[in-house]
Amino acid sequence: MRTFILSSAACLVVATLTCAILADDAHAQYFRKPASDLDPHIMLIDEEAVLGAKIDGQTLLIDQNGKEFRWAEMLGKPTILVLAYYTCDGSCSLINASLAGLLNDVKIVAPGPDFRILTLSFDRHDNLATTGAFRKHLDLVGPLNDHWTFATFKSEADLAAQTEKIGFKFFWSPEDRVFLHPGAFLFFSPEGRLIRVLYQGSVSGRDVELALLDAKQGQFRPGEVINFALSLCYSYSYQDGKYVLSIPIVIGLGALGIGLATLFGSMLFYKFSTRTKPTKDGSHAEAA
Amino acid sequence: MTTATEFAPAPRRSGIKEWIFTTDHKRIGILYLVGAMAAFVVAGIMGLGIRIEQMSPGESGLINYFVGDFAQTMTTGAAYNAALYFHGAAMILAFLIPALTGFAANYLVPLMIGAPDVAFPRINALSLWLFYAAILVALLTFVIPDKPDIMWTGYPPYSITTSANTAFYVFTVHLIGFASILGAVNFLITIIYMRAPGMGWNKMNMFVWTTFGAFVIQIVFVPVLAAAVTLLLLDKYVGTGFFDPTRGGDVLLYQNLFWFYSHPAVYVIFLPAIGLLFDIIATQAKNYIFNYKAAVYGGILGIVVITGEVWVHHLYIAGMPNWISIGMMVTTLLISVPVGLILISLWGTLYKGAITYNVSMWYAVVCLFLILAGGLTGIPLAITSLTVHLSETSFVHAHFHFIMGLMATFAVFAAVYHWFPKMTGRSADIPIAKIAFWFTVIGSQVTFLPLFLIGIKGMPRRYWDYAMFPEFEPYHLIATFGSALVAVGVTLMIVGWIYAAFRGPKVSTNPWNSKSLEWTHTESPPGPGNFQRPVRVDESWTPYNYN
Repeated sequence: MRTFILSSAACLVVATLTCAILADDAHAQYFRKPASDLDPHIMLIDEEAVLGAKIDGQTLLIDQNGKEFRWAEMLGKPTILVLAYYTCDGSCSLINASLAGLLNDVKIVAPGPDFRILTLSFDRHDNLATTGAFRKHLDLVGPLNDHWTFATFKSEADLAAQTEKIGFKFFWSPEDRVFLHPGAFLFFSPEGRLIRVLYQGSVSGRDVELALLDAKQGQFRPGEVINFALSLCYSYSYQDGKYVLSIPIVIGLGALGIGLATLFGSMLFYKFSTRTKPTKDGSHAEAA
Repeated sequence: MTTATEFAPAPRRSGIKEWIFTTDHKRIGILYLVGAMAAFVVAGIMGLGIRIEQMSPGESGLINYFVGDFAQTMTTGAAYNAALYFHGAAMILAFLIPALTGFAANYLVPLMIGAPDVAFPRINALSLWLFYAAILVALLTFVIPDKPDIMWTGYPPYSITTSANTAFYVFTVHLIGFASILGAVNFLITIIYMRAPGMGWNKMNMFVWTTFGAFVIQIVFVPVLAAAVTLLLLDKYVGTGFFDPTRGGDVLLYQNLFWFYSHPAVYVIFLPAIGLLFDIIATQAKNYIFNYKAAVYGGILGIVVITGEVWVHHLYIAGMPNWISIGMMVTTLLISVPVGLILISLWGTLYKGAITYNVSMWYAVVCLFLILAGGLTGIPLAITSLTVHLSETSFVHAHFHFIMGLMATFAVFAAVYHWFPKMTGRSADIPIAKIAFWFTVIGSQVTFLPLFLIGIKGMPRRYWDYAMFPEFEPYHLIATFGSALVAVGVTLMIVGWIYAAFRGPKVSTNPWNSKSLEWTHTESPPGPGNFQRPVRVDESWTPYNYN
C-alpha cells in the first residue's frame, strides 16, 4: 500500500512538472500584453482578409538571370515569398538576411526538395542589375544560394494587382526617400494559397519551420509522421504572430494518459492489496 | 453443476436511511434506475416539447413552457436551444449511460459472476451520489434564468460567447464523468478478480463481457472529455484562449477532444445494451450464444480497440486533408466488422431456439431490427462523399435516435422486464405492459422514420423553425403525433412497473428457467451478500448451457 501511495505521488509530481515545463512555452499565448502603444496596423498584412488568397499563376516574373517565368512554376511545393525592393539600403537587406539566418536553423525540411524561396521586388524601377547586386550583397551560401530566386514583376499592372490581392501595402515616403512596407515572410501552399504571414524580428527558426509544415496543408508523406505530429502540437497565435504549443493537445493527451494510468493503476493496486502474505508459520494467507 | 461452502449474509434492513446510505450493489443499481428514469422522463418531456414546437412552421412559443419560462421572457429560439440542450445532455449522460452502466451493471454483474458485491462498495455508493448530484445540477437548468443552450456538445466559440450558463453543462459532465470513472475502476476490478472460482473468461455472461468493454472505454476516454470541458470553462469564465484562434487556440481542437470521447461513448451505450439483449435472447430462446468467442474477441474487444480511431467522421465537413478523411472513413467502416460479428451472433442465437415471446423478448426483437436499420443508415454518414450532403440534417438525427436512442432505450426496457422478477419477486409482464409496448414501438417509428425522409431532402437539424421549408410540415406533424404515442406508451409502462412492483403476480425464483447464476443461485430479490453460499462453478457449467 505504501509503495503504491509513494509511486502514485511520484507519478503525480513528474506529471505536474512535465505539464509545467510544456505549458511554460505557451504561457505567453494567453497572458501577453501589447508590446507597444503605436498602432502597427499600417505595416501589417490583414491576414483575416487575405489568408487563402492566390496570386495569379500566369503572372510573369523575371529572375536574376533575366529569365522569364510564371508564378505557377513556383508552385507544387510550399513557397516562402518576401516582397522587397533591391535599392533599399535598410530593412529589405535585413529582412532577407534574417530569413536566411532563420532558414539555417530549419532542420526538418530543406530548401529545394521541400520548399522554394522567392524574393520579389515591388519597385517598378528594379532591374537585372539591382537584382544581381542585392543578391550578391546577401552573400548566400549552400542550398540557400542554389534554391533562392530573386525576381521582379514584368508588368507594372501585375505588380499592383497581385500585391493588392495578398494585402501587401507599400508607399513611397518622399521625405525619407524610401518605401515603407511590411517586413513579412509570406508562406504559400503548394496550390498557391497564402496560408501564413510571419514578421521579421518576432519569429524564430522554429516558427519558420512550423509555417512551412503548415504550408503543406496536411499533405505529408507516410515517412513524415514526426513532421505531421509536430504540426499538430503547435498552433499559430495571431495575437503574438508566432507559433505556440497547443495546450489543449497536451492536456488531452495527458488526460488520456490519466485514463490509462487509472485503468492499470487500479488493477495493480487491487492485486497488491489482496496478494497473499506469508504468515509466521511460513504458510500463505489472504491479506484481504 | 456448482458446489458451495458455508456463507452467512448479514440481515437486511429497508428503511429510507438504509437505502440512501446503502453500499449494496443491488440497491445502488435500483437507485440508478430510479434516477435514470427520472432523467429520461424529464428529457422525454423536453423531446415532446421540441416536437410540438416543430409541429408547424413559425413560432408557437409553447416550448417556453416546457423549459419553465412561463413568463415568456426567452425568445422561442433560446427556449428551443435550452430544451434541446437538456434533452440531449440528459438522455445521454443522465439516462442511457447511467441506466446501462449504473443500473444494469450494478444489479447484474456481481450476481452473474457469483460475487457477493463489487470490489469497492463504498466507492460504488460515492459514484451513485455523484450521479444524483449531476442530475440535480442538470435539473437546476429549469430554475436559473440563463439556461444552458449549448446542446450536449458545447461547441466553442458559441459556448464561450453565449450569455447562457455554460458552467452548469461543465459541472454536469464533471460529476457524471467522475462517477463513471469510479464505476469503471470498481467494475473492471470486480470482473477481473471477483469471478466465482471456476468461472473462466470464456464462461462469463455476454452482459459481463460487454460491461467490461464499456468500462474500459469509459476509463480511458472520459478524462479527455473532462479536460476539454474544463478548458471550455476556463475560456468562458477565466478568459484564457485555449479555443480562441486569435490567441493560438483552436476551435476544432475542442471538437476533436469532444468526439474523441463522445463517439466511443456511443459504444459505452451500445455494448451493454447489446449485452443485455444477448442474455435476454439466449434465455428466452433457450439457446447457447452463437459464435460466443467470435462475438467476444472479434466483436466486443474489436469495438474497444477500434472505437478510438473513428471520431473524426464527426468532423468531415469541418475541413481536413483528404488522407485523414479517407483513413478515418476506413476505420469508421471497419467498425462495422465487429458490429457485424455481434449481430450475426445475436441472430444466430435465435436460430433453432425454443423461443418464448414475452414483453422483454418483444423489445429485444425490436432492438435487433433497430440495430440493423440504425447501423445501415450509419454507413452513408461514414462515407465522406455522402456525409457532406447528409451532415447536419435530420437524417443524422433519425440515425442516432435509431441506433443509440431507441435501441439502447428499448434494451433497458427489455432488461427491466426480464429482471423485474429478480428485483421484486413479481412479474411486470402484465397487460398494461403489452399495451405500452405497442404504443412505444409504433410511436417511435412514426416519430423518426419521417425524419429520415426529410433529412435526405435537406431538413436541417437543430432548427427551431423551418418556415423556409413549408413542404416538410406534414412530416413534422406525423413525427409529433408519433412522439405523443411514445409519451402515452412510456407513461403506461412506468405505471405498469410501479403497479407490478407492489401488486404484480408473484413468480418463482427462476421464472425463465435460466442457467445464469443470478437466477439459479439467488433468491428473488437476492439478500445481502447475494448468495447463501459462495459460488463455485465446475468445468461443464456455462450460463447458456441449455442443451
